Amino acid sequence: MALLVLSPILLAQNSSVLAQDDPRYGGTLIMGITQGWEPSTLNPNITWGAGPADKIFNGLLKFDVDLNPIPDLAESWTISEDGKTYTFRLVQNATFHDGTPVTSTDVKFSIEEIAKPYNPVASISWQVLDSVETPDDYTVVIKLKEPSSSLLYMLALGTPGLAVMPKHLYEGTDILSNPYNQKPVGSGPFKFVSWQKGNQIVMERNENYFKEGLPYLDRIIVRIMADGTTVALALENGEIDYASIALPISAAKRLQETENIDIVFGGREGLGVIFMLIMNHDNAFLSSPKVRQALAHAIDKDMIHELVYLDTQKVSQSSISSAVNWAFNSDVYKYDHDPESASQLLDEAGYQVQADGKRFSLTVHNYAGIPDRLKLLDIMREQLRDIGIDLTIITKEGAALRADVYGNRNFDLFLVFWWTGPDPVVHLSQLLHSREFGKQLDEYSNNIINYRNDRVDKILDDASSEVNREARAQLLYELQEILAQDLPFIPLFEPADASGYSTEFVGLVKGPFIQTESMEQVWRIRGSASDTQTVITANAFENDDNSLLSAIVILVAVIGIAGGIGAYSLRKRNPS
Amino acid sequence: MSTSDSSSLIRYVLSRVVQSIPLIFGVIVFNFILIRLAPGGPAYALAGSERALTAHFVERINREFGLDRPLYEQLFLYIANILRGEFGISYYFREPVLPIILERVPATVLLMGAQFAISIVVGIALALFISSRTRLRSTIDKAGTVLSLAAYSTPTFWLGFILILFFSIQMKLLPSSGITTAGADLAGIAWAIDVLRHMILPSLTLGLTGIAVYFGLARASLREALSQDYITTARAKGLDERSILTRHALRNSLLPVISVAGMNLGLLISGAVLVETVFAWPGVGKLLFDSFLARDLPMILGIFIVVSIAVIIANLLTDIVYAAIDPRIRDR
Repeated sequence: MALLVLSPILLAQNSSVLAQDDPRYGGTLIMGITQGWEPSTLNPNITWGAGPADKIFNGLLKFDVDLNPIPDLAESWTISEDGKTYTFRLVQNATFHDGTPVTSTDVKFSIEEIAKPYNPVASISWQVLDSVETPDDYTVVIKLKEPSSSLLYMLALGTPGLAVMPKHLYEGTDILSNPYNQKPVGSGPFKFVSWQKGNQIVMERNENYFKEGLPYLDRIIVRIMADGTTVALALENGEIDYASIALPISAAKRLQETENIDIVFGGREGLGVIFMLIMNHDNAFLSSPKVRQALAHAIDKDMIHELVYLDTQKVSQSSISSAVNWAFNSDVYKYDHDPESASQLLDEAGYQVQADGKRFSLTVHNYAGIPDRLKLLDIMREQLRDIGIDLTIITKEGAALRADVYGNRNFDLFLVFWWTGPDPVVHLSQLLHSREFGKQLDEYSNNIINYRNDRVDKILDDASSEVNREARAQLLYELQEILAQDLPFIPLFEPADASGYSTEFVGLVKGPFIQTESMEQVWRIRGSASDTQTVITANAFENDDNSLLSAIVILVAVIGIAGGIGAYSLRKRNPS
Repeated sequence: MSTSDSSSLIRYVLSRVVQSIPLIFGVIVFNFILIRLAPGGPAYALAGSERALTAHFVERINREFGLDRPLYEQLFLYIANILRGEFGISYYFREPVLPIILERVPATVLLMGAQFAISIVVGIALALFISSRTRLRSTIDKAGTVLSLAAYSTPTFWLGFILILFFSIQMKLLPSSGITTAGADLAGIAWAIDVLRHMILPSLTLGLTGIAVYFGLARASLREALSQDYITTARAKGLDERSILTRHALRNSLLPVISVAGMNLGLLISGAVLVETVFAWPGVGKLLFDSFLARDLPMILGIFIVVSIAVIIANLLTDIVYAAIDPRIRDR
């Protein structure tokens, strides 16, 4: 019956974790994130990206560096032959931070009542869910309506996929406004301590973590900082120990020379992110494949890579990221920089050069406040001008831009980061599948470019229900060939964000899942005495009475000092 | 003060309070409509990732926050809630708005209070200093005017970056952002010193503009006062220049400074959006900025209402002080 049984490997050693000495206990790790990455909630099941929550919650599974699912709360699992029934055995010694044991009912509740209705990204994957059964406290049976190739991947994504949350704190409440979204109670290696919005999030060691001996650190502090430059400076000054995918490229290049700091480019490979130019097929010009191909030939990716990204990223070769190595097809047609072929394609498409030297005009929508993006678009505009296309850059602030692009679909070109991993099928379906696409978007579709290709639809459907990885890889190979010809979007780069680490810490994941790292295996080389002291969380701004009083005391002191300076400057004067 | 005096003062205060109620309502209605005119609803801001932006998500958010109802209905509901003392739930944090705003008030009052005090004290002291240098007046005076104009017209966010570059990065003397040192676990005096260190750069950034404002005001009115006859009389009496300046001229020239300071007092609560954002100072100004980006309508309106009330109260206090000093005002 069972196709696959994995033995419990509780402390699966991460191959990227350097084992230098025996791990030490104690110490505080201070992480810097930029303002835009401060989450709105620490309930990872109702939002996209609740970064710090990855340390507070566990999923059923997690990934190793080679993108294989490994145990987290589930110590083993089996998949039925028809691919519709997944049975998970949970560890029996896991407890939430309030002491309640983690049981199968918590898993069921987290899936059915929280993640499926409210997770903006995972909802689509959960549509295949039939039921979650709990034969006993430590067995979870997930039944699907049809086989789904992506379920294990999604469960292993950790908090972006499924975080196991305490049913007893959420049952019968309004999930979205439950107070525990702001002061989460999970089962993870670190316990929530405090969150001063706009300033910092503090977490401390979970003494009763179910993985014996873990974690090593006493405390993690996430500091919310003004911007990437500030984060880089703070790392350089030793104010923070770790900047996770937050450094501007130029700053990261400079910090590479700095002692005691390691810089890593990458960290989102596990998600197979591709930075792409999507093209609205409702635009008369862009509906022609020849025009789309011409654009791809006109854009010099290598030049942009060198000038804008200082050769730190990876130029994209196909519509699936090369990091998703089992599905990546390196043999597809590649669009080299070739303005002549581009012009020829445009001639063939029937768009001749007019008297004013132009063929036609397009617009591209651009997020405000991203300097690199504007540089890229400037270069792109020049390159498109060379083949007679006049490009207008429309820059708007976040919500306004998205209302244009996603709400009204009033756009020609748009740059977007799209996942193609760990499972390409679900993400590419969301972007390209034509099902039920009308004037308004299909409920869970992101096919805002109105792409319609029956063959692509068929392959995506087949690949979705195909559980054999080899067979799926075959389908995806074919898909990439079609996409390289038909070109609904132009893949530009596989982004490699810059992270910086203090060399004082060992075990920080530098692999493909930096974003969702639990930090359970991180330890500090020099454990100083002050670090191992009991955690004092006395922060005056947490307590209202105290904070107001302190504020007044400081204010009076400042006024006193200023007054003193004033009085002194008066007294010093010579009476003449 | 006689009984009739104090009763007319009370009547004056009451009439001012009554006057400010429609004002606050005006602020609510105007801002409510103004914010709705901004393109892009909260769903587009809340989605976070483009992948989450599906029709399903947008619809769910709009339904949840009642944004699918007609605008007048939303406004009516909002005002009804305000009258019940409910400021609404933040779209972004999904928590009641008022506690979040009040949580930010101490940090803002601290920063703005410091810049307020520095601006007034240093501004006036500088004006006095320059006025006292009678012999050098023309040169120093001109220099002072030019410098204060330069300080007044320097964009604060730019100045903030320059100060960070110099004091935090080059000199490594002061922290570049935040309000406390993360992980330091300080308490008592050490904590206060830590906060003070974090305050220096942002309050200096803000203070420079403020100093220029109060310097200009005090300098102009001091100059005017010093040319009055009673100053000549005082000089003729043989008083020393210092007491002429502080006892005679300063007293009379402080009135315009007080009225401007009174107006600014209310803004202590609103914070400084740009400077708080540059220095990642967790105050009301930064909250307002973030809330705009998140299209967090209840939060923005909540901040506007709290700030309006603070401004109105501050103006009221200024007026009362004036009225108490000058009976002509309350009889008008």
